[in-house]
Parts: sequence; C-alpha cells; structure tokens
Amino acid sequence: MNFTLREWQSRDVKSLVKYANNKNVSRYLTNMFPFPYLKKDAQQWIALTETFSRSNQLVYCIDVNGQAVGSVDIRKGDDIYCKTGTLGYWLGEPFWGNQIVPRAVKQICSEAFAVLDLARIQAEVFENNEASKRVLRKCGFYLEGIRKNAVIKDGILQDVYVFALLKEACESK
Amino acid sequence: MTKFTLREWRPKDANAFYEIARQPQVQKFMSDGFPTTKLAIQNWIDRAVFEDKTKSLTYCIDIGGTAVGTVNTKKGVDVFSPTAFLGYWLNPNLFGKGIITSAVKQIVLETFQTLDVQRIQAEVFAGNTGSMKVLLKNNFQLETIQKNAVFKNNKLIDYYIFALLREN
Repeated sequence: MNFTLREWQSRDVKSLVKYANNKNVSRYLTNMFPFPYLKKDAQQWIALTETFSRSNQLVYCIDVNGQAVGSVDIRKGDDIYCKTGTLGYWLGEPFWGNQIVPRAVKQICSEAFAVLDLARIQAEVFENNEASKRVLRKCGFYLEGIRKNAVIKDGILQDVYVFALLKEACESK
Repeated sequence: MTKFTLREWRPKDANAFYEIARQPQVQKFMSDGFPTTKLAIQNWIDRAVFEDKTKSLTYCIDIGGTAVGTVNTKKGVDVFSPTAFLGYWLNPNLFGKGIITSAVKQIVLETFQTLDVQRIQAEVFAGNTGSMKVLLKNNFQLETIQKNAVFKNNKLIDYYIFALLREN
C-alpha cells in the first residue's frame, strides 16, 4: 500500500477523528492521545503542529489516498538531551499489516539524522505492544533496556521497552 | 559518619547554594539547567518552598545550620505517574562521608510512603562512579545504558539509568 508523509492540514480533522478515535490505538500511547478522541482533540493537534519549529522536530501526517490515517514524529531533546531525538507514531487500525509504519519510520529517521543534528533516536514502547517492537527492530533499532513498572495505562502497570538507533550505526552500514 | 538533617530549603540558603553550584566538580555531572546564577538559584529555592508535596519532595541537606546539598524526588506525569525521578548533589568537600547514601535512603523511604509510585529512577552520566556507588548501596539496579544520550561540554556521553522498585 502506498503512502506519503506530509504536513498536517486543517482539512484532516475528519479523517484524524475517524482513525484516532479507537481504543486499540490509544492503549499504546500516552494520555496526551485521549480516548474517546473528539473533533476538538483533532483541531487542537493540528493547530499545535502549526506552532512546531522544523529545526526541533519533524511531524508528519501519514497520508493514504488523500486521507490522514496516522502520524509519525521525531522531536529533538532540550539541554543535555539535544542530541537525542524521540520517535513516536500511530496508524489507523484498518491500515495495520501493510508495512506502512516501518517504511514511514525509516524515512523519518533518515531525514532526522540529516537535519536535526542528532546522535541517536529513541523510542519507548509499552510492554504489551508487540507490533511496535517489531517495527523498531525492522528499522534497525535495538532494545537498550526495560524500565520495570514505569508506566500505567488504562489502569494497568506496565514495563517500558526503550529502543535506540545510533547515528554511528547508520553511517557504518 | 558526619551528622546531617534533611529540611526544607529556605531563601537565606541561596548563598550557600551559590558557593557550591559554581564548583566545576558539581556542574560537570548536572544538566545545563542546573542553576548557577544567584537569580536562578533564588527561583529554584522559591519553587522548592512552594512545591506540591504529593508530587515532589525536595530537601536541603543541612550540617550545623548550613546548606551543603540537596536531595529530591519528583513523580512523573501522564503515563509515567508510577515513576519518581531522584536527583541529588553535595558540596564536594564532603564527598566520601556517606552523607548522600544516607540522605538517599531517607528520601527513598518517604517517597514510597507519600508519592504513590512503584519505582524510583535515577539517571547518571558515565564516569560519575561516586553517584553510581550511592545508588548501588541503596539497592538500585542498573537498568539501561543509553548510548550517546547526553551531550555535555561538547562531548557525547552514555547515560546510566538506575531503578529501585517498590517490591524490592
């Protein structure tokens, strides 16, 4: 299945609500991504992306046939964390299993290393999110450590799996 | 062991804080956000005085009425609410006397009693063996080494993540 990465636009509100308003998506994300996911949440998100500076972060809409069906972003850290980019993503459930996220992640990681002046990209995955762990391994990330009992989501205490992709590893390939 | 007490920070501790904070041995293991100017230190103390005690605990380490260090824990937000983050520093003239080890022991107990967390996490720069020893003596375990995760004084360094679980 083909997709493109592009900026979020105000016309994406409807399809964003359609695919984001799903407990099977939100259960793997922080509480910044609410359930239910309402029109006002979608409007807030899109307005927020307009305030982002491209020197600090890359935030893309995953577009399939003109519809916003997911998101992928990398944000540069502050202070002593300025060489670390933090990766996040989600995809609407009807599109799972089409290798969209692994391709989107590879694309955004290449761009992030090229433009954000990073030494590493990091991703944190809840213990029960096996699909996301597979995505990261496919993209060259390795499991750096497990933070035992670090998060609570929907009332369930879980470990966080911390994955990393080092720039030096990408350059030596 | 040198006797100390843990107490709240007070505005008049600002000068003692300043004299310690300007020392390179302290700065080299702290984030760049660590306050080193008098104004930033006053602001930091004001925030500590007015902190919400259900979300963070910040204590001054006091020896004979003088502020010599700090120890604090802060509960995470959003999905990270089961995690408290531990930080500390001490006047380098007092290193090697077991002060921080004992201060950490006290704040760890209180944190598990009052902040409603399941784990306490501490993050240490590679090379800060004194700090790592403090954590290991308090039963923290090394959980992750984050390669190249810190950029300090124009150098990439590894970040050591330690954790102590409530169940332990």
